[in-house]
Amino acid sequence: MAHRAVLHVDMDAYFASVEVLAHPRWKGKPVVVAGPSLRSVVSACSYEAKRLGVRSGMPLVRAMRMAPEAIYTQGHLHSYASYTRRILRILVGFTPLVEPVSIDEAFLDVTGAPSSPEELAGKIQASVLSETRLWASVGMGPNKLLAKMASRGAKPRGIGRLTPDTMVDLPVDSIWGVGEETGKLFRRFGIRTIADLRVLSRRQLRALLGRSGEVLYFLCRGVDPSPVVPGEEAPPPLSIGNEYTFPHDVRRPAEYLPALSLLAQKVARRARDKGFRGFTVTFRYRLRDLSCHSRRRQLPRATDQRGKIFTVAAGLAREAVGSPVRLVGVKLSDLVPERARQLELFPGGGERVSAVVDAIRRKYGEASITCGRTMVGLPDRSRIPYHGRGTPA
Amino acid sequence: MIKLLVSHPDLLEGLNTVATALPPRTSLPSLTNILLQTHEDRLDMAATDLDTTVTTSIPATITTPGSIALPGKKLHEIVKELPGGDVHMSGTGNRVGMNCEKSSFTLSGSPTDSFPTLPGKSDEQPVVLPIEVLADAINRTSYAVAKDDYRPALNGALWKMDQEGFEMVATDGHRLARIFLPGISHQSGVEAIIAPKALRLLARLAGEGEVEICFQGSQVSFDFGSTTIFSRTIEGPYPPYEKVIPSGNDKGLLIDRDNLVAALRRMRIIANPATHQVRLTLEKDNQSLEAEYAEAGEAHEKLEGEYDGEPLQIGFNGDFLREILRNMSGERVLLKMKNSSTAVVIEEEEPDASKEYIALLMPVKLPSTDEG
Repeated sequence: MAHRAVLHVDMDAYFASVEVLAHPRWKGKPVVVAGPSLRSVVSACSYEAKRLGVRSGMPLVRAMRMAPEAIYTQGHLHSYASYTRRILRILVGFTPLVEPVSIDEAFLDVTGAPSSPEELAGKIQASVLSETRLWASVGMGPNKLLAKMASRGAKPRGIGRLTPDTMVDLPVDSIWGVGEETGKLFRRFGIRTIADLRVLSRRQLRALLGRSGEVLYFLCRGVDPSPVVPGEEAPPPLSIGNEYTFPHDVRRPAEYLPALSLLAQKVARRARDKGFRGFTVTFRYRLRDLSCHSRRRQLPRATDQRGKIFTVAAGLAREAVGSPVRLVGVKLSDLVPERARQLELFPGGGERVSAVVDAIRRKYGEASITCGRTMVGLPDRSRIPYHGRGTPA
Repeated sequence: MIKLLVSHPDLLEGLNTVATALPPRTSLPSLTNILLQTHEDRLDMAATDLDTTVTTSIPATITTPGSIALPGKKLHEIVKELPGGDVHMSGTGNRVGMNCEKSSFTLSGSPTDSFPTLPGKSDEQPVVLPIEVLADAINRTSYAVAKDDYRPALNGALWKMDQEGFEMVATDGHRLARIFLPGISHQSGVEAIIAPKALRLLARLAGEGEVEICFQGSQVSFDFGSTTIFSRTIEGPYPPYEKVIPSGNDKGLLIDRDNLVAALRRMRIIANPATHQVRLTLEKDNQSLEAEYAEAGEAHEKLEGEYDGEPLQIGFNGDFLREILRNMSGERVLLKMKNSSTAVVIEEEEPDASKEYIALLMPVKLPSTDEG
């Protein structure tokens, strides 16, 4: 354990940065991601918003008072999760020992890697940036604790390193597990930095904080034996589906086809992201009386292409829809992993378009490119329900 | 008013022919009808699904000329069950009575003006060829026609005729079959994508003799005996298939066709039921076929062929390969390959002088297949 090398990769202002990718015009502006109601709290904000005093976890109303000019948007968890999967894939390219901690951070154990941790940290930061256009900060240390503290100190867009010796000047609450209450308690005793904390004996700490005090005794000395536990791979999905509820019931193909196109696009993209192709396309619809119906069709070959899924779903819809519908859904099932792929004689078609669309989407964000059909007569729900000058519309 | 007498076998044969054009499901009630029309001393029959129309004509003794549209499925079912002999038909208004020996039926029909207008015969000079030749060419290509592809052109077969000959191509984007008949020419040249239903009906209805093919605008017609099939062609463009037929495939496997088909059938038992993938391993003195599927097991078979190239491993959809081989003829076939990711050319070892026939198959990229 003496020579461990651990990296902590932490995305900078993650949700807000993903939103800026999806809405390039928001670049350089204060962006606040929060829940849908005024009573919600700030879940993330850009550095520009942080400069105005906004913090994660702050009630939305307070943030709006502090930064009325900021752009307020609802979060898109699905989009963040899709970026997270891509980022994790990049990280796994460096070492299989990747432990995802949350949606925007992960530990990597790079002990014994041929490159130095500094070199790896630089490469990781550059790869994540070039493949997702998102900035990560990377912390290096002999264990998870110090790596995490280092990444926090390096933010934004930085690479930092901490050792048991260089951590001493940091404030006590930079150690994980030291929250507001414990911090307050320490301040009463005049303990502000880690160096101050080291003065306390193991016994004293236990007397102050109970068992967690004992743990803190080691943490403040930069000792953290917890291993990097690789995250389990997600089990393969059974199906991939999306649904769309119309603002008012529709019946004519011209009214529901744009929605089907959007759904086919989403389903195909998710299938490609997950590396699956499906043999069955199901069209689902809900009538005015809330009853749900569906029709499915088996394909001769598995697909992950928007055009194919849309054609089949549209055909099923034309057969099925006779009375007004309030919801339509598209599902791809009988999934097979894309490991063995039937090659195409004419690859110029959908496949190449999809590959380009995926590349653009990865680089410029979810909302940067869509099929023209989805823009006709469809209120864009991937856009935000409210944004602008502080007041929800 | 309509009144006539027909022989039961003639009537049944005529209905067997036109009923093939009846749409299986339709929202247009008039398309479920068969049109009956007297014409001199014959009875003309027609059915259509608007894309494909079949007309035929049988001898009849006409007492009162007239026309009526009758529900096709019912009429066909009744005539199938009639005991044989002569069938008397007579109708007034929209009701037609049919008498045959001791049985009699009355059917409610519709006025003929509710039936779609039938396509007219083209005055173009037809291309004439033996039905047998056409049916063989269709059978050898139509298996590769795509089903339900989002590229409409692939859902039909390309027919190209010029002074050089008659070329037929079908592909679903993964495999391709091409046949070229040098003897059959068209002066001005014509190109059309033929719908699969027309191909099916042709192969099924045509018996012996000759067929006259006429192209007119977006329609093609096939005339044989007293029957005509009209079919709307599929709009192009057809993908650039000439470009994907490789010429530099330098690795050849010459192998017994039946043996390879049988080996593929054995692999199929184990292979992934969704992808049917098999792996062909080729070395000069050692060729083998393998299938593996985690949920079923593994299968391995040694092949006895002649291979004259660098060692190669290549994956296929075994069902595609089997279908191609089944439509070839002759004892041995030649598989010409370049690498594991480009099209394989399959041809007969001893080609027939009256036609050029090749098939292409794109490989399946297997996880362990090296980049070739």
